[in-house]
Amino acid sequence: MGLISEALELVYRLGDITDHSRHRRRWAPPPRPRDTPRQAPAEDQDDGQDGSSDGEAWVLYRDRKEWADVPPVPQDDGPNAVVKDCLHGWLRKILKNLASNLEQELNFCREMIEMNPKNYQAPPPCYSGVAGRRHKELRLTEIIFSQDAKNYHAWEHRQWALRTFKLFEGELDYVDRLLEEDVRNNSAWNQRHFAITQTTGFTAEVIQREVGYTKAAIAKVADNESPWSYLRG
Amino acid sequence: MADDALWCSHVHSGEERVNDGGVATVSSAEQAKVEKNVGAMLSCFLNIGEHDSKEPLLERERHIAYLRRGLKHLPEGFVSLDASRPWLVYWAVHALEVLEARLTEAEASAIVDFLKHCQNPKGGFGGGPGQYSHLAPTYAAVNALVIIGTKEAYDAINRETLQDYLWTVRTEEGSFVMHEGGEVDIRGVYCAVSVARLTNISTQGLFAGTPHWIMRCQSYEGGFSGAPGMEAHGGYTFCGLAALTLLHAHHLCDTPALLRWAVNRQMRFEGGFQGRTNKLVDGCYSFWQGGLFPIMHTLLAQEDAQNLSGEHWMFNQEALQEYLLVCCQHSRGGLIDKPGKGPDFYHTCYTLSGMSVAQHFITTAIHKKCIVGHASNELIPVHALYNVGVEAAVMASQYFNNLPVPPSRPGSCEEEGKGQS
Repeated sequence: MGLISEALELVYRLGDITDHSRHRRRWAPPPRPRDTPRQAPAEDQDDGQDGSSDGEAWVLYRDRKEWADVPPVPQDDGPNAVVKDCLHGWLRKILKNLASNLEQELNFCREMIEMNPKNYQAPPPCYSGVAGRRHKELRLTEIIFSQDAKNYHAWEHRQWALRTFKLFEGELDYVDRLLEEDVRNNSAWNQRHFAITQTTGFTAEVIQREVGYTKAAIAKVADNESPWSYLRG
Repeated sequence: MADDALWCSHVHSGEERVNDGGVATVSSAEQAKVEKNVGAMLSCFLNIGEHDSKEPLLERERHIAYLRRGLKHLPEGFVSLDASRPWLVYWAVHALEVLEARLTEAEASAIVDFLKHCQNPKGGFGGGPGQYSHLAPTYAAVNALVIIGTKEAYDAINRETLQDYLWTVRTEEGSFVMHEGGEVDIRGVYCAVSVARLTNISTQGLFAGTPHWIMRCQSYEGGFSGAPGMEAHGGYTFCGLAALTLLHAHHLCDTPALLRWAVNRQMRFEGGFQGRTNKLVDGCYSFWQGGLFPIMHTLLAQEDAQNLSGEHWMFNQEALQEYLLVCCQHSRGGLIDKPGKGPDFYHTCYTLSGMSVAQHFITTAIHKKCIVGHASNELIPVHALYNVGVEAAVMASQYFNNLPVPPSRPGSCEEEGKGQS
């Protein structure tokens, strides 16, 4: 579905990506607030490859009037530059768009299951109502993490969503799962610290539990800076 | 130059390669891939050296040609959608500056003229003519104009409206959003503080509370994050430390923790820097991470000068230069992230800036050079806080510090007593 690949494309383009070769398609910005024609692609490109969007029936977001107020995504800045500022607006637009069409939501879920079966231990929750909408924000970041578990902007968005909607329940379990997959994922270790700081805090009991957890991670892979930093922190 | 004088010939033996301890994960697999590519480049370089000189050479002319080609196209097409053209200008102009390639008067004037068109009547610079102001292009435009360094360039900056603009993107707690309606971000703080200090428009109220907000971004790892709670990251750490220092609030920083984090960011095999723990090397972090060391050196010297070196920064200056010279120069011109990537102005700017930091150990009393490879590889020293040439920074400071700080306008936030911590 164009929506998912566009969402992922957006995040790849914006985030701190480790493997640029994964995103060959160029992301074209939507029309700016003031009407000006598009420029030819800038000289600097990653590897000279410049795929263009394929001829889908799907209407790309850049051609939709309702997206016109979202600022354009620059093409050849460095990682984490101006583009980052657009992400929150884009993510919320994507989710608003999803919410407006229940059938689209269900298709979205089905597509996600087909794309990432290992991420679905149980049937996905029903995305309806206010509670569902909040979970969508977290869900989107999880989809992104399944492709790029350290995506900085997605982690920022997740932290924003957790703080705003107070959805910390289950966050440590989610972090656990990510660390099971990759004990070297420093973003997940940071998220652990964040989740605890925002909920129980580091009480004596919590510290004892976390020291045990961290020691187990070190026993698994001693040459891994993340748990050592976490211990010290 | 003798074979064993090169750091990379020692590390090439493989002891410093990642050892996943039998538990391979995505992180270790990615790291192994990069080490394989980098190792191949080092092999190639060391083997060629058997017959030729083993001195790594900075392909100056090739990079200058690459930058000039790119700059030529920028002033054209005022009707561009690209929201980051002042950035492109700054990256190219700074890279040329570091390479000591002078702009002609015509080139400089054209750039000044272009940047003037990016400046908005209400203050600040946008990503292109007619675009709304944003702190990132504002920072880039001011820096580019400072590097050009003519009176025309300095006077292109409307200091009064710039000061007004900074007030509009300041939050009550002292942080800054990148643009009106945007999110708070430590980059915003750095961009605001940097332009304010360089152009001498800073007032006490403008940055009230800012140091304390910055400190909320120092994570348990010791580095700084983009916003409170997030992961420590090289780019954001530079922004945090530089801003704190420019605000004379560096005493708030847990410098030992920061130092420990920063030194661990230099990759033991590749020699370059990574941006975050367990992530991959990238040439641009040569400056974001490398640039921390001159700043920390100055801060630590105020507390404990005896234990500090009088000759080098607290990172391996040779290793960094070798990574950049051997692995990060693109055959088409320009520099890159890591082998396999294409060149771009961003990486060209920050690899060269980082190389300059690695080449020059400079304190108030000392200047010790450490030039890896051919003597012609030497770059001009950069000012670590602003990332413009030292000479450009000094000249600009002299010019702007002779101008009065714009008074707060009637009805401005400072006059109304807002913006207090």
